[in-house]
Amino acid sequence: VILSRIVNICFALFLMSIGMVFFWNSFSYGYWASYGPGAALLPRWLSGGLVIASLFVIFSDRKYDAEFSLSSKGLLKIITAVSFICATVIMVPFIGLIPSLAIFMLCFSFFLEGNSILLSVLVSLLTSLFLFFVFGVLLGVQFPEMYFF
Amino acid sequence: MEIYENLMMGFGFALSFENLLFALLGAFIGTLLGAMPGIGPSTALALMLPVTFGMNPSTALVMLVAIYSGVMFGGRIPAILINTPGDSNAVVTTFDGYPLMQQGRGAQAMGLSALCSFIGGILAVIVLTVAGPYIARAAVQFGPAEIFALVVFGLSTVVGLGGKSLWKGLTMAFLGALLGTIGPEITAGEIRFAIFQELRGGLNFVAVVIGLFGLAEVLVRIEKSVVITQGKSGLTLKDMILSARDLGRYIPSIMRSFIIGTAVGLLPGAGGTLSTFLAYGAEKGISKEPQKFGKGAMEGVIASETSDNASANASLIPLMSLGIPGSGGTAILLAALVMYGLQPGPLLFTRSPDVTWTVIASLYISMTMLLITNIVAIPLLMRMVYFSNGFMNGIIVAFCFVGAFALSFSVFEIWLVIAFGILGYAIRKLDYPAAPLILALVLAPIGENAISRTLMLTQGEISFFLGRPVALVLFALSCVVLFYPVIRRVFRAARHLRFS
Repeated sequence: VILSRIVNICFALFLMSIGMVFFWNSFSYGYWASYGPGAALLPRWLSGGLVIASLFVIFSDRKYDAEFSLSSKGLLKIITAVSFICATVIMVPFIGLIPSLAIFMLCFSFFLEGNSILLSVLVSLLTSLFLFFVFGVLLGVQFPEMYFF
Repeated sequence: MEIYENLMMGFGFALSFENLLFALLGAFIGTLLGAMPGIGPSTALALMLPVTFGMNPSTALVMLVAIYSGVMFGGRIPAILINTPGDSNAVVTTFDGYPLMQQGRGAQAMGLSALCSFIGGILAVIVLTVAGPYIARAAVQFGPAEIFALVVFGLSTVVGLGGKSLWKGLTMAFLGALLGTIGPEITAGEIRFAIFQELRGGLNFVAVVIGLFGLAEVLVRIEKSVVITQGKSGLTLKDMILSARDLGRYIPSIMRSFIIGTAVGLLPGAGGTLSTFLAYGAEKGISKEPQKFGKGAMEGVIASETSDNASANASLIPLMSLGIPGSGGTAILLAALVMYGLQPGPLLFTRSPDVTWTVIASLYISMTMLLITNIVAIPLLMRMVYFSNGFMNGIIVAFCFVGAFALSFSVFEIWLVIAFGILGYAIRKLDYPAAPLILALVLAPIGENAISRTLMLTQGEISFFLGRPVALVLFALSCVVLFYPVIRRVFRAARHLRFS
């Protein structure tokens, strides 16, 4: 229960900080211009609303706190998945989008989903070809090819 | 007569080979995606939206609408077969669908639920065909003040009826609207909050949706290791067909559930889940054998599936006639309209009648295709879901990334997907509703435009709203919907005081 409360408060504080950043930044724009409402009018009210609503979530919404649970195995899987995902995007400028995604699918299927290497290779190759055909050939999307491809 | 002529024109376009092909493809893909646990209409549409780039607007919308309807049909498949609802709307289907499966009547439940989904959906499309143009015609009279009030009302209902906590809903709505202000300001075009060069045009809605629904879904599935344990042995076509006598017996239940589903669907934000619970409760209350509910009552499956599909198609009425989406799925459809250069709102029927009526006509066609697909292709679909389950997550991520890249041929959009994917995962874990965020993001520019025009016309006089009765009524309704729990608590306390 305490962990759930802490996580819920932390997330509400995170949302509140977003509101505060927008609120602060809204002062660099005009609230009212000669022709009517300025660029800051709506963001200032909305960011103020976000800060207040987040405060209510923290102080008066305890009964709606989500029961937070995350096993160490689940956490490890999430961290691995996000790492794979980020590594894939970092690879894009070097080996291109489709090859990066092919490697990503291979690793994801083999390491995270526990499939055999043969199935993983097959899935990654077929999906890459399908994606290239649909987006690259049919829809004419110019994929980044970069240094190696 | 005018409606009939327009509908025939719509059928003329919708029955072209290209549109028919994409409607069939959309129906099949929608059912397949809907049959995957956790994938609802929002995720399915977010994943498939980039695939429609390059198509002409009519064909793209025909396909998206078929996917939207297909997901509604598909959600019931894992609910009945493996007690795992495809999305929250199919939760009620598990109450009686799975017990029926255990009793060996799963095939009948599948056949009947497909038929009920079809009847509920098609009747709601008839309501859309008849009522949509009239609502739009009335709404054409709306000025910016009324449009702003309508935006506030749409958001209030989504926040007020959508989740357990009012404040969590409001937080999401404020965050979504705030993110919607990134980029050029409506009147003078001043660029706001663009911390990256790529944000100067505003936050790409599709990238946000792909992250919030597509990637977040994968993260949830990875964490929980969602696996389908059902064997690949399927159902036979013969077992799904019901006798005419049985069907006749269920017609009153179907009609009651359709009415409830349509009424709830018309209300922005109420959503299909609420309609399924209401219809289920009503059927249980009316039944002479309420004790059978939860243990395998066909009426339970009928109530859930009819109301769910009626509600889904009825929610297209405020979307197409007022430009107000009532759920995450319809918000993505709204974004698709904007993306294809159409102006959502009351003028959609008059300015783009060809596209509008093609979409309406294609709803009839895709519902019919879905009925056939869902009866004929269920054994095949089940095998596909079974085999693809073990490696689907990586494929979904790949689709998310290629789809995001195709938006502006920039890797920045992929980073945006990742950021919103992580945010989407967090808000799911912490029970924040995602629908208000999406809706607010879509409606923020419309609302800002409306309030700016109103304030310009009145030189900043807010009291102008007092002279606009429609806007006042909408604001009052917004307050009631938003603060209904508080109002109810006050009334209860007052009554308690009086009695004591």
